[in-house]
Amino acid sequence: MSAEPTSVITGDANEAPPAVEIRDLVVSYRRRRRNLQVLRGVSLAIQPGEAYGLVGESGCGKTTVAMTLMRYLPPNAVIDDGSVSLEGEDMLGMSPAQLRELRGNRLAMVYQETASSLNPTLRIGEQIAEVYRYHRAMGRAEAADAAREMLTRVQLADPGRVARRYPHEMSGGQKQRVVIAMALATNPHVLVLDEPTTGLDTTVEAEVLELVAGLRSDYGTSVLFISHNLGIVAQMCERVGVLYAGRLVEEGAAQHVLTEPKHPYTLALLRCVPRMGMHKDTMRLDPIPGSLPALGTDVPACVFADRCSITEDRCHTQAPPLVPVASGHTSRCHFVDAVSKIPPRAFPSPADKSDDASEPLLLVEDARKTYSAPGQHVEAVAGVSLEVHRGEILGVVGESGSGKSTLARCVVGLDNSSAGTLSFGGISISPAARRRRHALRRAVQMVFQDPDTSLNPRRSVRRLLLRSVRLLRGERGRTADLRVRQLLADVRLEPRHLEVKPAALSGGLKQRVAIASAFAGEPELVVCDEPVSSLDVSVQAAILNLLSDLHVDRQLSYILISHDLGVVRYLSDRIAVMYLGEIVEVGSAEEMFKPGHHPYTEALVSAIPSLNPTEPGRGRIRLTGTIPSPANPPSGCRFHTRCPRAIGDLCRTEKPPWQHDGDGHTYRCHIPPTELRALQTHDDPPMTS
Amino acid sequence: MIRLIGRRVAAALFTLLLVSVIVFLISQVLPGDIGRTILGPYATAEQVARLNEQLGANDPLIARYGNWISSFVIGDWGSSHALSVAVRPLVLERFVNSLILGTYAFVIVVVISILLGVVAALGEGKLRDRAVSIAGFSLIAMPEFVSGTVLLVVFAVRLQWFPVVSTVPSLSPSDIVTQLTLPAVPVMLIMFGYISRMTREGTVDVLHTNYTRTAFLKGLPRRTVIRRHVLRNAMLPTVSVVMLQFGYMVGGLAVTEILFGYPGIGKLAVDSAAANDLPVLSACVLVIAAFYMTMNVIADVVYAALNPQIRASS
Amino acid sequence: MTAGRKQTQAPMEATVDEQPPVAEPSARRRARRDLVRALLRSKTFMVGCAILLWWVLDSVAWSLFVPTDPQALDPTNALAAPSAQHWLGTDNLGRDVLSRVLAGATTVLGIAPAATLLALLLGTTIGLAAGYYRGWFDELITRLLDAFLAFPPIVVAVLALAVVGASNVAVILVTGLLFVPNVARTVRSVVLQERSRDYIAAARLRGERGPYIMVAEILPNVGGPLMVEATVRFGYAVFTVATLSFLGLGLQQPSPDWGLAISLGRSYLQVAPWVVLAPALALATLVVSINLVVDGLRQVIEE
Repeated sequence: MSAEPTSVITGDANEAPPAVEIRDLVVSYRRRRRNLQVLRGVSLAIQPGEAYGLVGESGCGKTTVAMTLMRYLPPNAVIDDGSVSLEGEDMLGMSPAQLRELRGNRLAMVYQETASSLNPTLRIGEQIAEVYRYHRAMGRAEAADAAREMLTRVQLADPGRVARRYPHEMSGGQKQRVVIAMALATNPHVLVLDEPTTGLDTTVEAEVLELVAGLRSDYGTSVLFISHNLGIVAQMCERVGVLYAGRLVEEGAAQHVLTEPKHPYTLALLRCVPRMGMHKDTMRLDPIPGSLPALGTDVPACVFADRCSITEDRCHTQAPPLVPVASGHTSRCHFVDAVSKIPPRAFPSPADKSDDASEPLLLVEDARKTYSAPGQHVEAVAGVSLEVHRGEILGVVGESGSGKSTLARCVVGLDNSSAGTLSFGGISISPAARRRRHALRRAVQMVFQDPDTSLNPRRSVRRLLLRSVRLLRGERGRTADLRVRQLLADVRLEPRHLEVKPAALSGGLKQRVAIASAFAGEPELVVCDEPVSSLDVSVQAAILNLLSDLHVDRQLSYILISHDLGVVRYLSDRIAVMYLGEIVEVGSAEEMFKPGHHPYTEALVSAIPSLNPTEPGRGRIRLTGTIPSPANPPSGCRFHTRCPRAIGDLCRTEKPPWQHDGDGHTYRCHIPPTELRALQTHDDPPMTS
Repeated sequence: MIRLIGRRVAAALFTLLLVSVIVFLISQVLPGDIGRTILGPYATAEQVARLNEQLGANDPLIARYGNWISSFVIGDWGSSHALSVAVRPLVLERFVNSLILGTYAFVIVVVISILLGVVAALGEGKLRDRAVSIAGFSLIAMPEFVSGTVLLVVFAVRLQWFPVVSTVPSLSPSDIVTQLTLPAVPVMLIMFGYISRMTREGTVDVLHTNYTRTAFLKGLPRRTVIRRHVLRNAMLPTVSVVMLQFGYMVGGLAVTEILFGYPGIGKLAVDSAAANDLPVLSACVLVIAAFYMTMNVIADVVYAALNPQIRASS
Repeated sequence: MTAGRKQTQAPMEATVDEQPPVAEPSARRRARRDLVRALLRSKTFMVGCAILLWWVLDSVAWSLFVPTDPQALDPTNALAAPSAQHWLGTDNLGRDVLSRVLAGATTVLGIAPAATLLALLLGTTIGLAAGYYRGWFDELITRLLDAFLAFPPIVVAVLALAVVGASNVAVILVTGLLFVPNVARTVRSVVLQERSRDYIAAARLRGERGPYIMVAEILPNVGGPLMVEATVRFGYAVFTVATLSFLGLGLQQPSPDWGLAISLGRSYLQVAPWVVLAPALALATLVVSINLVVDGLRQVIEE
């Protein structure tokens, strides 16, 4: 098929063959009698002991590469062309018996959705022991011992008890450790990790990645690491390949590719993520226009041509070759030399006219929300007080179970059984949206996480927006029609989008419609619950820019809920950090990222994977243990069970006081500001190799 | 676990209460003049009034329901208008007969359908899958009187392998087979469609889970994956579906019992409906519903007992 | 809407590069066309449809197809075996069995759809309300539905028909009511899923009332499962209606109804099995065709 030269691997010819070698792989899925090509000629090689990162947005074919390597493609997938070999052996011609011998033995995998990767009716120990029994011919008792030994290796406390547990009795991070233990049980030569930390909280993710890095260096395993997160790949891999629409567009040493990209896609991918220190007031983000070509659609000769900023006619007619740009660094672009000269399209933000320190718009006092299940009460929000000023963006961060989404629902009035007092513009308001006055409903709106579920799939964009305009503004007929068009223009959509239903729009466009709908009634406060986390990184930037523009234009306030510190940091004026239903720290966006912050915030910040792993201050602290259940929160300081800075009994027994560090920055801890700042600046990071 | 059983039993009892109210309303209130219903159009108005008085038909509704249900609970089920015998022994005997026929049909059909359901699932999309599934849904809504009639024509009338009228068998295996096979088959055909489909669906679902993928990618032999990982999980929902079906089936034998003249509770119910014999009819319906609810509870409890996720949390 | 007004809004200059150009208007149309094509390609669906359509056509226009009058008596030629004159033989009164089979589709195909419709209307309403309002209302409704499901359908139908008396309307009412719990359950479970989606929360936030949310927001999204449920129930309605007339609780003589014919013909099973077999097979093909349609629909919708 594609007659291009595959990437040439440097090294002696008589050295061991590459651990994995994939050549010209073409894979397509058959759906309703149509052949949808997913991989369009992918070639890559992984050397023994090397960690190779495969990055790209969702839908570009990363998982298909992994599953072809495992020889576990779905039945409707067809390998049209190419070869895959493992340590020199051709894998595509192997018999089922040969594959069985290979899988779980020399070749193992860690999966994306860990929770569902473990058999719910089999004890953990047995699931690991199985591997030993079939690949090492061990007896029952011997295999059980080996399984416990492996559980110790992945640093699970009390392996004897863990082995007797069922998967549902463990946390997400623990389950991921079990899956890793299972994969490494037989000391495989090649380990495939498919988005191994997606869905885990940042602090847990950091822990798991550290574990994988440690084990890999112990065992000398070759790794294929699949991720959409460039920071993680930079941290974990020596070489990376960038996949776009089923084609490898750039490949090379991790630090080269991620710091001096030679393909416009890689460059754009790097530029559209808010980097640390960026803020909406100073710099807009640089999104990639358009979106990934849908599966089965025709792609131009250069797969990225439609979204590229330096494209010429040639890109549409002639497939670019793989051009070597440096030792072991190749890029599939006609204009490799021009890439580094592409100017950032990001430009300074329009001035934010909002004057700070205005009166508080929303006041939440001692909000509480308890969910009751038979036999237990979960206090999801346990006494939260906060204020949002007019024209301010308040970011709320926290891990899963921190209660941030419940708080959001309490504010907008979707949780009508919450306790505490809410007041808006100085007037006390009902906790239930349906009992609020019309003017108030109009003023407080919400943008949901996933536009796939927040837009009624049966309605056209026009009907969706007309309904919002009618209910929130009371307008009908021609006035309403004009208003809808105005809204559409405000969120940068065009009139041609009016008649389509959400399913025909890409994720980013859908989220724009959802934003337009929330803005229909000129709101004063919009609660954004993870507004970009369901979107691909290239689209995220455009939505963040839009939210920022709307904020500047209309002088309204946001509560921005997110688990992504980068997003919150970029957009927020102030940030509140939540842990187990409580706010542990509030301060200005800048303040939060400097020493002198709550130990939990410190852990969150140091868990952010960075493109530059050698940057000082990285990996300063790691949290251990699991997040306690909100049904049974720890006594004293709720964070003491995981706190690396805990100072003994005091933390265990007494609720910490609010410490004030000037200028509205407060946090809840027994350690006073000066002491904490000293600890966090002078402490040498306990580096784990 | 005990709390779970308690909750289920309480829910079932409440449902039974509703069932009894519905039966009461249909059999005692809906007919309007109950005395007239029993005595028929030729009785004098006086006779009707006297009977209504005797039956307490003029009391308030709540009191009538109270009387009706309490006498039922203490075992006084009254006597049959049409057959002039006590209701309780009659209904219970017929119920046991149905249970015998039902169990016979059930044991055979469950084994066959689960087996074929699994076979179909393992060959998902292949010919054998299509065959089982076409057979299944062709049979699932085939009225028993259609299949039963065809069976009668072929096996009882033409080939004379089985009797035209079936009776309650003695304990000898050959008698069981000759008496029960023909009346069992029409119900089995319906059940086969249902159970094999549920089994197939459950197994296919499990085959597509990530943990089955994990098991395959551990390099385990296919047989081990199927046995340890797939069937174990797939049988969980199947078991409770099957138990529910059993509860449902015993009351659903009516048509086949009529067709083959088998003295079961369904036939008794239909016969007494035709004869306006309301005490017998309501007793039949209540017994059938009670049995169904019992199986319901057992199905829930068995499911919970087999499923570690529920077992732990309750 | 109007093609002429398309260019009225010039996109803001600063955001031209952010404008994602990919709202493929053809995508949805293609999806629908694919769906129809998949249905047309599904052998199961097409075979089922063909048989079903035949019986529907026959139920309306049987008078065009029958060789002789289905009610014409010929006592001298009673229980005659199939011959060139009477392809499927004659019954105990010498009536032509083929003609009666062709004419017999009318009752079942008139009553069963009406009963299905009734079940769908009531069941959908109850299921929507129970799923949307939750709480004690849902609890009560669920228990009530459970209670109804605990009854063996045929026995309840017999009981009810014994009380209200047999007639076509009664059969429609009883069969329809019998299926309400099944429909309500299906609808309720879909509503519970839909309800947890954020578009419901969004509707509440803009101040929509419960009934509007149920009917205008949720109901259109229940369509797929409801369609499958409707076909399944239709199959069972045919089943039940036929069984009731077999039990002598539906239509009476001299209707050529299949269930009735089978019931009456049973007495002559030994000498003239064709009297029973012909309507039995007719009913069987009808039921199987409905199930073929269900299966085809399900497969295509789920794909």
